[in-house]
Amino acid sequence: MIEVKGLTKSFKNKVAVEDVSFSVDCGEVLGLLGPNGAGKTTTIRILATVLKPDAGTAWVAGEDVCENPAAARKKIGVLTSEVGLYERLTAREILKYFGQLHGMNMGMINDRIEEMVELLDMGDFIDLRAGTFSTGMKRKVAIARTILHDPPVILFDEPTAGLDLMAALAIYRFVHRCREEGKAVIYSTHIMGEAARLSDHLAIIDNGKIVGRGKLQTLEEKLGVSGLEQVFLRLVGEEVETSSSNSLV
Amino acid sequence: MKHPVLIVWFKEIKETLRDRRTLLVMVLLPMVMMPGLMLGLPLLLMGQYESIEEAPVRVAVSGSSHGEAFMEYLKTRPEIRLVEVEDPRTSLEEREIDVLLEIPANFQDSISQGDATYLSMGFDSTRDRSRMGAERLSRFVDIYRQSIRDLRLQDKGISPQMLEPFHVQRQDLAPETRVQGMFMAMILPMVIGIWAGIGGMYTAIDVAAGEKERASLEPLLTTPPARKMMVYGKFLSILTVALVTVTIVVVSMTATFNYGFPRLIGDAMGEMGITLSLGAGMLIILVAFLLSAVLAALELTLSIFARSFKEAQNYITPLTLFIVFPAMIVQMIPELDASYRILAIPVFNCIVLIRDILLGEINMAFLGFTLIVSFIYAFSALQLAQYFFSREDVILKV
Repeated sequence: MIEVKGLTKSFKNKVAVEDVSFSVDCGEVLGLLGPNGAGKTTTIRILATVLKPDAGTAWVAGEDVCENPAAARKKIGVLTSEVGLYERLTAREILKYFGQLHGMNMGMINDRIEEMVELLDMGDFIDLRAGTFSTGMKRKVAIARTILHDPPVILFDEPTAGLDLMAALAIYRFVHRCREEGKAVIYSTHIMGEAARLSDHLAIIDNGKIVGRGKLQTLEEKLGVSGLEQVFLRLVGEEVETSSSNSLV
Repeated sequence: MKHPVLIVWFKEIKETLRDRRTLLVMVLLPMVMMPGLMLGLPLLLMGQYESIEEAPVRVAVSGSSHGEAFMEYLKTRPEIRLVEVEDPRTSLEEREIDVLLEIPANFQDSISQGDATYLSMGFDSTRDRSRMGAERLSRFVDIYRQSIRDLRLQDKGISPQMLEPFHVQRQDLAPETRVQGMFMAMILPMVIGIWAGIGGMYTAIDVAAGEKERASLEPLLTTPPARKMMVYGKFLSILTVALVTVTIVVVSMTATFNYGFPRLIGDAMGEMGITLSLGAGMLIILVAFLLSAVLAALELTLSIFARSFKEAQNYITPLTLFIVFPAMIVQMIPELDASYRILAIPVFNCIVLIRDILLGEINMAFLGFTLIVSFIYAFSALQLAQYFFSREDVILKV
């Protein structure tokens, strides 16, 4: 469902991502794990067609993000740490706006909104203006906005940043639900616990390059360590010292 | 399903209508402030002038003993109050008197002997009361001077009419529409120009820089419509708001001129017959639409380029200078006629056309030319807006 081949992107002579490749099947969650500045957000933005790669390409649900960005955008939903709601619109109006932009007719939009209201327990505030919302309420609206058009591909970019435990748990439940619905999910994070908890397999990125890829168990066995933290440190920490072939791509 | 341009346009308008700040600038200020200024200022000035005219002129006289007959004459005028002060110049500075008269030592003798002499009148031109006092005093001094002249002529057996072989009858042959339009032409072009810029300003800042600041732009960019559709939708929203503002300004100013002036200002302005016809008003709105389109496209471009609300404000606010300066030039040089060369200059062309419409000089060829030129400028600015909207380093913090 998601195929990434040789993505490369630079900003002002700084390489943000270099030769990044991975794939995600339907009903799978790929944890894109890396420290701040590793290239996670750039990768997500390229897949979301917000940025264009300098080299390489990617396919989401069969659509080439470079050749057919508009068609690709129809197939993706993106949830980031920055919610970005329109404060003078109600939650319902925001969802209608995005539903219309995704080409849905009003009947479909209204039905889906009612589904979201029930799924995310938004009944109390669906018709209130977003400017009055708490963080948790805003996050729910953002989740609804992400899946309103029922995209087969969901991209998460550090969605729990700044959230308390209860709100974060709600995000985790949502990720599980996406997997159960057969969606292809990329979950980008720098938090080991999240990556270990949510991911079916991992892509570990550092300094713009994928330094490790595969299921956690496989990585542990190959590196002879236990736990994601050790895997990560072995791949990232030792690479800083030796720049040798501990990369497992 | 609606076209993406319409979706974005309607959503931005909905948000705008819920923004108190924009409603204040778009509706309340043009509806209330402009008529208030147009009526309030003249009323205030008229009230001030009336109170000055009603009060006697305070005159201090130096050398009063040199012109006893003249002093006796002044004492008979209730409009003049003679004030005794130690230092007339200082008293004038300190506003204790309005005018000072200096009668030279030979004044009475010269008049008696049929010679010419002088009378010195001092006033402060920077103060209305002193300046108007000097004008009023001059009228009474002229009456006294003429009476002496007439007496001298009678003594010689000469009729005063001998000194005036003919008088000139002046007749203003300017068309009535032009005369009526002069007053409005001094004010309206600048007012309309400024509101065409201010009206859409907050919307322009909100739909681009504001989206960046709120982090709502990136989710928008992940939706299917092409970026240029979003640019066009946002442009239309700014243009709509600006046009509504300008229409309110034109309607409120028309009501002010057609109804407010005759009823509140009274004879002075009412006699001038300041009116704005429906046809002229609609043409002005059309030209204002062209001006709004150019300004809306520029404001959107600047807002897209800015990284924050405040930065966008800093870029867009100086745009008003590009309206004020042309309007001032048009006001200060009334002989500046419209020509194709002048109408090729953006903003300036619309200001000149609005002035000409107010003066009753409507040239459809010039209007058509301005339409084409304004379209080219607005389209070019929109292309620039599109370019910036597609630049990753402009749209995102990369």
